[in-house]
Amino acid sequence: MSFKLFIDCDKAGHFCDKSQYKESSVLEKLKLNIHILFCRDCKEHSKRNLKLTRFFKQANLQNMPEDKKQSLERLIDEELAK
Amino acid sequence: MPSKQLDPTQWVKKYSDYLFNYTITRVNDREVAQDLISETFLAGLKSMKNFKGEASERTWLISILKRKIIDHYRKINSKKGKAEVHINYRDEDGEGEWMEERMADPYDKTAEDVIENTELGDAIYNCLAKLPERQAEIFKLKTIDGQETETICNAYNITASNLWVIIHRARTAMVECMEKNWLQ
Ligand SMILES: [Zn+2]
Repeated sequence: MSFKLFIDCDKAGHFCDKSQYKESSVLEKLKLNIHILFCRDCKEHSKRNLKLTRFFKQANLQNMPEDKKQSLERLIDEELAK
Repeated sequence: MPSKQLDPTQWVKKYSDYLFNYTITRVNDREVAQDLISETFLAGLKSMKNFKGEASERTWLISILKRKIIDHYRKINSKKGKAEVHINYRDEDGEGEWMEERMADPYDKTAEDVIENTELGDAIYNCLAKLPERQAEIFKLKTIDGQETETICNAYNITASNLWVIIHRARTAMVECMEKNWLQ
């Protein structure tokens, strides 16, 4: 079994992305945290990445519901067919 | 390739989320928002011949929508205006009289402010619009709709590692764009 506690910056970036979606494992989080203890770039990147996540949460974006989109598509098709 | 042309068949796919979010943060009602966007698309179709290609399609649609939102505020406004006539009794110089006083309408100013303020959501969608189309779609499904990685991978026929590369690129671009366009 290979157990690498130290990861490179690419891996760190990937684990950081996953953790923005709560999809990183405990071990991945641990590895990321160890990495950013020693890597300023990744520490900075993680901070900015987290800020982006907060923006999305704060903005509470609302996409148009799928059925509404379909009825709009139909409306446009009908108009174009006229 | 002429970059500024109208293609109504793509409007819903490209702009409906952005327009919906834009409207709902300003009118606070999903049904009204939906109606205003329908009206916007219809008005857009009717005035396609007036599109000169100076603005982007997106900018053009949003300017139509802004007028629709302002009209909506005006309608509320005129109903409110009638309701907010106050009858006051004045007796400043001994000759008391009943006065009808129209309240200064709070809506005129508000409508303009509401339209022109860039909300956080607008800033996000403006940045999303700068991403490559497919990247934006996938990123939105994951980040706004909260879809499972597997679901998106199946829909786009990509592997999980493909997906994470796309997400990583999108996030990096979004971070930079938001830092430029949203001071906080
Ligand atoms: Zn690093």
